[in-house]
Amino acid sequence: MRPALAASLAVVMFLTALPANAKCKFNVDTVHSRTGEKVLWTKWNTFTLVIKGKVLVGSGLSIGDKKYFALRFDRHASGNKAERDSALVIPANGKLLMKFDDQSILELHTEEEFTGDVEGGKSEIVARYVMDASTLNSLLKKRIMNIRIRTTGADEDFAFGKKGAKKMQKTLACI
Amino acid sequence: MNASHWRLGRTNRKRIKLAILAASLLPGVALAQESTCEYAPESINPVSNEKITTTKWQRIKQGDGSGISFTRGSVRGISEGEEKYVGIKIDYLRYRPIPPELGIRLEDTNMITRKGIYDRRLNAVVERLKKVPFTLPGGSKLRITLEDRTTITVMADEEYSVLPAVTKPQHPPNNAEDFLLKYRVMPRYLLDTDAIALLSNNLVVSLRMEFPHQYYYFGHRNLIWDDRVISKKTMATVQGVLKCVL
Repeated sequence: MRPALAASLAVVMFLTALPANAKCKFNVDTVHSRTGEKVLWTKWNTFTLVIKGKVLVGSGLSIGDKKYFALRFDRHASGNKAERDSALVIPANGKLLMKFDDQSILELHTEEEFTGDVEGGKSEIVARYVMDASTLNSLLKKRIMNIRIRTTGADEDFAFGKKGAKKMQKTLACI
Repeated sequence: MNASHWRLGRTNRKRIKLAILAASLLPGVALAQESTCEYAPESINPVSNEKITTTKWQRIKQGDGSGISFTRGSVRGISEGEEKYVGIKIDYLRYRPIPPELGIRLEDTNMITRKGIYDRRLNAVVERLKKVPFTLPGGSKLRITLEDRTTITVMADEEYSVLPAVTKPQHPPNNAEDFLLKYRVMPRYLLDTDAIALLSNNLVVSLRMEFPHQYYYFGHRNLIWDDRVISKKTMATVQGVLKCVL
């Protein structure tokens, strides 16, 4: 192939790829420190309706072939250090229930236990829920309405707006 | 062959000069990178008789962007025989209120006497507070988060007990400022082979130090969608000191 033709083909390929990639922003784009697999962690996004000041932010995570839905939220933590440390814990195999607009419910699970980070009277947790291909497919197609997160204390409920649901789909499409 | 083939144009001559200059600078650059390892004077462990190599403290600071809330400290790498450690220096602050006896009965005397009495009592409190130790228990955890967001947890190798530097209230006796107790805590955390392998090849993006009643974080988020990470400069500082001993 002539160099000029190859160069122009490369430019065309770059330009066509640009619009799709431009929307995907990653906080982490690296390799796994132990396995060497590719790790992609999209930027955190607020998907849910902010009700009573509670905010849930989410991210799509991909480690090699595995996909995860990552969520981050906080809860008031008081008492002594041990009480604050245990204020927000999601156990291994902890459930995440997602309700869609067709009233169907999807269940995701954690692979390990997650404990909140305590700072300034709050405990903030980052939990990862594993997604298989069919789960990811459902999340990309159906409109999500609500999320219920099972923790060792009370359940946490969050409602999604129309925009938030679309934002979540765009984010998950990146992984 | 025409002689003109060997004649170099002015541009080419410049390029060659630049290449020679760059080549001559390369070893210097490499040396400069190595010389970024600054070590404190070596010492010997009196018990094991092993040589202790320690890098100089390098400051790490991470704010939340507001200019109000930040964690400030220093980090160093330590090598003692076969064992490797990461050392963190942080000022642990505690506040103690002015004891009631400092304010009572002072109104009964004249100004000069009041000042004398007040100062004597103040100094007595300072001397008392200087003897109040803070102890970081052995086994206290340091959580290190790597770039891929996996974590390593290492533990303080022993108990660290320190006495404070005490700062008096600034404008006695009428304001409510407290005594400030500043404990300079310098624990070192033992790195196992797994931690050494991981830290040799990966950047550290955040640190969480466990204290008896709270945690100290190096790595803040200033906006809700940001990750909890230290600055690129701090990442390089941490990696720099560790590479000098690993």
